[in-house]
Amino acid sequence: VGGGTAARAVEGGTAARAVGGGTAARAVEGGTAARAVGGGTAARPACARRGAGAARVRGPAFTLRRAGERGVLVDLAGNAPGWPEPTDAPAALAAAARAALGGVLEDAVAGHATVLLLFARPAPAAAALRPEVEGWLEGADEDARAAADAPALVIATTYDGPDLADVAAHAGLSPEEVVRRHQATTHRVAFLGFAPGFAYLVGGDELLRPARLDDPRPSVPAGSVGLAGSYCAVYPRASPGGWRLIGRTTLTAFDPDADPPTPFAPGLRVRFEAA
Amino acid sequence: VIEVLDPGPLTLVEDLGRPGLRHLGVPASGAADPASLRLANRLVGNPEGAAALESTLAGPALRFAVAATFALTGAPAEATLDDQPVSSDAPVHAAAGRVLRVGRASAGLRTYVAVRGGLAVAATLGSRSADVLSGLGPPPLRRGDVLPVGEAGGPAPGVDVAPVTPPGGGATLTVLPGPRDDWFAPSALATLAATTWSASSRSDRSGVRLDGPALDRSRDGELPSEGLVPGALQVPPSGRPVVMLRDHPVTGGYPVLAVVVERDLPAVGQLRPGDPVRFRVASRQVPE
Repeated sequence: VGGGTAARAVEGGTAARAVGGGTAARAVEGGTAARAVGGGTAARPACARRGAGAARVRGPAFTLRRAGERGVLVDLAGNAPGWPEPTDAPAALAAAARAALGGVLEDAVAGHATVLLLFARPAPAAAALRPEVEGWLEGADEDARAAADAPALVIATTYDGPDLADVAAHAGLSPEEVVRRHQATTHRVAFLGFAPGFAYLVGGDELLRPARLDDPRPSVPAGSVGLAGSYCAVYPRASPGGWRLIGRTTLTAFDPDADPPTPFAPGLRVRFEAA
Repeated sequence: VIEVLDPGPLTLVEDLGRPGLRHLGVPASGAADPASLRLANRLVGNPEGAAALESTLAGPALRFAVAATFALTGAPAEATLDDQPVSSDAPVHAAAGRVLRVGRASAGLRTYVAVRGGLAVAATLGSRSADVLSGLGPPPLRRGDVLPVGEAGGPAPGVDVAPVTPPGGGATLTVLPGPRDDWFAPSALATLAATTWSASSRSDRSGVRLDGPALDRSRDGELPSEGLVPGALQVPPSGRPVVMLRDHPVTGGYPVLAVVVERDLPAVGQLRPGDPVRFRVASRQVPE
C-alpha cells in the first residue's frame, strides 16, 4: 500500500459487499509458497507463519467502508443480523496492519467488529488495500492463538461495588456466585475507547450482562470495576459513568508518564481474582 | 516567560496533538483550527507544530516578562499592546514588560497567539495539547500562570503580514459519504445538503452539535463501537449530527453518515454558536 494516491475508490457504505472470491481462491492456493501480499509490504506472509501443509482456515469476510479521505473502516461483522459476537479478528488485524504499514499508517483502531485504518496520507484505493487486508486476516488466527497462550493480566479486585446486589438480582444469582463467575472466565480486551486506557473486556459470563444504569453517576471513582451488557471495564480515572459497579481495583489503568501508558491493549487476556 | 493576567473564558495550550495513540483510547487532540495555528507559528518563525495559545470567544491578557515576538491568527479580535492596536496575521515585537490584551472575537470562535520559540510547557504523551475531554495536557490557563517560552530555533520571520480570509459567518463543508450511510434513509444525505444547520451552543472541542431537522435512519438498533475520525458526522438518536472535533472520543456507537474533508476541518473549529452551516456532498470519487 503506497498510500500516496487519491482516496477515491475505497468503497462507500452503501454496498455491504462481502468478499468471497479472494479468500476462497486462496484457500485453494494452499500453503506452498510465501506469497508477498500486495507488493510485498505485508510484514508476515501468511504461509511463512502457518507452515506448509497446515490446515487452512478461511478468514472472515469483510467490507471496506470509506471514513473520510484518510480513513478506511474494515467491517468484520458480516451480514448476520443483530449484535456481532466479539472475535479476536479486530485486535489481530489492527496489530498486523500497524506492523506492516509502519509510518504510512497514523493508527489502526480496533472496534467491536471493525478496524479503522487511519492513514497519514489519503487512503489507498480499495482494490490495492483489499489483498493486504486479506493477507493480514490470514495471519489473524495464529495471532489470536498466540494471544490466548500469552500470560493474562491478573486484576486483583475487591468485590464491594454499589451495584453488586443489583447485578446478582438481575442474574438471579447470589452476590457470591456473581463474584465466582466473574473470576471463572478469562476476559480479553476487545478495544479501547471512551477514555484513555478504558478497555472494553469481553468473554465474561453470559449471566453477567446487566443493562446500564438509567441515570449515569456523575462521578465513578478510578479503579471501579463495572459491567454493562457483555462488557466489563476498569475505570482508568474518575469520570461520569453508567456501568454497574461490582468492585474496585488498585490497578493503574492509565498513566500518561508510563510506557506504555496503559497495561491494556486489544487482544490481551485478563483474569480477575479476589484482592 | 509570559504571565497570565487574565485567561479569558477558556484559553488552552495547543499544538498539533498526539496522533497515533487512538488504539490506547487517547484522542489525537491538537488545535481546533490547525491552519491558524500553523500560520501563527510560521509568522514568528517557529516550526508549524509549536505550542501556542488557543482562546475561545475572547482572548487572554498576557504580560511579556522578556521581549518577545508574537502573532495573532484565527478569529479576528481587537487586540492591544500597552494600548496600541495590534494587527492580526502579522508578527509583532513586544518589549519586555508589555501587556497584550486580546478582546472578543468579532467573528469565528478561536484566536491563536503564537510566540517566537513556542510555549515550553511540559509535554504529555509527546504533545503539549490540552485535551479537555480526556483531561490530558496542560490545564486551561488561570490567572497568575507563568508560561515558559522555548528557544527560537528557526530563521527570523520574513513576512510582514499574511493574506488570509478570516473565519466567521458560518461555513460550507464538503463531506464524503460513509462509513455508515447505509444505516440512514436514502433521503438523509439530501436532507443534510438541503438544510442550513445552526451550530449549537452545546458544542465543545470534542464535537460541534448542529441544530436542524432529524436525519432519518433506515435501520434501528445500536451500532457496536467503532473507530471515529475527525470531521465524522455522528448521528445520535435525536437525528441531529455532531461533527467530531479534535478531542473526540476514539470510538463511538452512533452511526457516521459522512465525514468532512480535511481542508474544511479548520472551519469547523471556528464555528460559534448560531453560525449557519451548510454541507456539500462530494461524489464517491474524491476530487483532485
